[in-house]
Amino acid sequence: MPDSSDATLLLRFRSGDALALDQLFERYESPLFQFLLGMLKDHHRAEDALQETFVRALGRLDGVDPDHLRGWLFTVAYHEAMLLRRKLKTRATTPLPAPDDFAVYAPDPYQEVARADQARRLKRLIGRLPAAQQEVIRQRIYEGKRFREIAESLDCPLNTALARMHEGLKRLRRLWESEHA
Amino acid sequence: MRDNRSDSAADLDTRALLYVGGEMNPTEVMAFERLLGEDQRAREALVLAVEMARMLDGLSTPRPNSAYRAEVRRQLLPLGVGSWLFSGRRYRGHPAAWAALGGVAALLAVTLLTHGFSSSGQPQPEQAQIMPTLPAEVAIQPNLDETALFWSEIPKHERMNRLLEEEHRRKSRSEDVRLARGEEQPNRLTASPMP
Repeated sequence: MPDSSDATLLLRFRSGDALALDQLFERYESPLFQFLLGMLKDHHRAEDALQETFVRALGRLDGVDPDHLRGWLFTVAYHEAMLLRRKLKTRATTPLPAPDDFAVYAPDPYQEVARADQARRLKRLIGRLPAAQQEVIRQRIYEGKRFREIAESLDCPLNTALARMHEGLKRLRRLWESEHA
Repeated sequence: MRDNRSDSAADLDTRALLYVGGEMNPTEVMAFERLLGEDQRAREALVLAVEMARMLDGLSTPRPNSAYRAEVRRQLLPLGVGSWLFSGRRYRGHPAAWAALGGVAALLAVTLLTHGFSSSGQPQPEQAQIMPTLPAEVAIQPNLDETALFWSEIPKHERMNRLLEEEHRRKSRSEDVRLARGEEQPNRLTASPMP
């Protein structure tokens, strides 16, 4: 299938082409979902917000520059996340989960095996990173330390520890992607 | 004017890591979320941070359950006339509404006219005599509440079929009654001409 521009996809979508909507999902679903998950820290709420984001953003396209569709979708997603959080706060019956709690479905045994396999591969890949980056990631993952604690233990500024973490993760991701290509 | 240093890509990346890790104090969280509301680079940094956090968990990148797509499609894409008629979300200005309404009206008019002509071919006084003198066990005493409930539970597309069946039953019933009373069944081909 040819890679259409956002403008073309929007034009096709507005004329009722369901395939164009599918392509928009493929293009933006994942980044929007990660974004919402980062803000809401809950899988189900992020899904709800994602649905509302697409409905609202694509239902009100008048005046939206097709070249800025990505920014428009993220703006709507941001407002959806804030709205959802305000609703939860006012209800005050279901508190937001702890920041580290990314609620996901309980994995079945096959998923557990796959997960363990992925963890082994990840550990092997971490061994290929520069020592300074390895150390930050190791302390973070395997010792569960907070970034401030890592910075203290390595006797370096917090930003240095964070920068090493970030660079290490980026490199790790590239290694992971090249291995799974 | 924004502080270039505080909004640099590297700074946004590290702040996103802290945000995802839940290691920001409330003031920092508010500041970062304000940035998320206006700066696409901050949003992209958050996307990356979440992806990487998930990767470290040994999980693949989280993806939403694709069931939500069907709901988005339902709300955004125009539906076919058939699916529109039987779906829950409609609005009055839809052309299919007027087409369907016109069709029902035309059908009703044809039914009434046909019935009117056929019944006008029968001697009126005879019919007037038959109907009121139905035996109590034959006469139908519909309960209006039950009838309303019954019709409300039938999908609209079935209602027309039911109406036609009911009309057919009603016609044949008057003939059955006449036969039961021992009257001669009128021969439609040799029916006496209208007076």
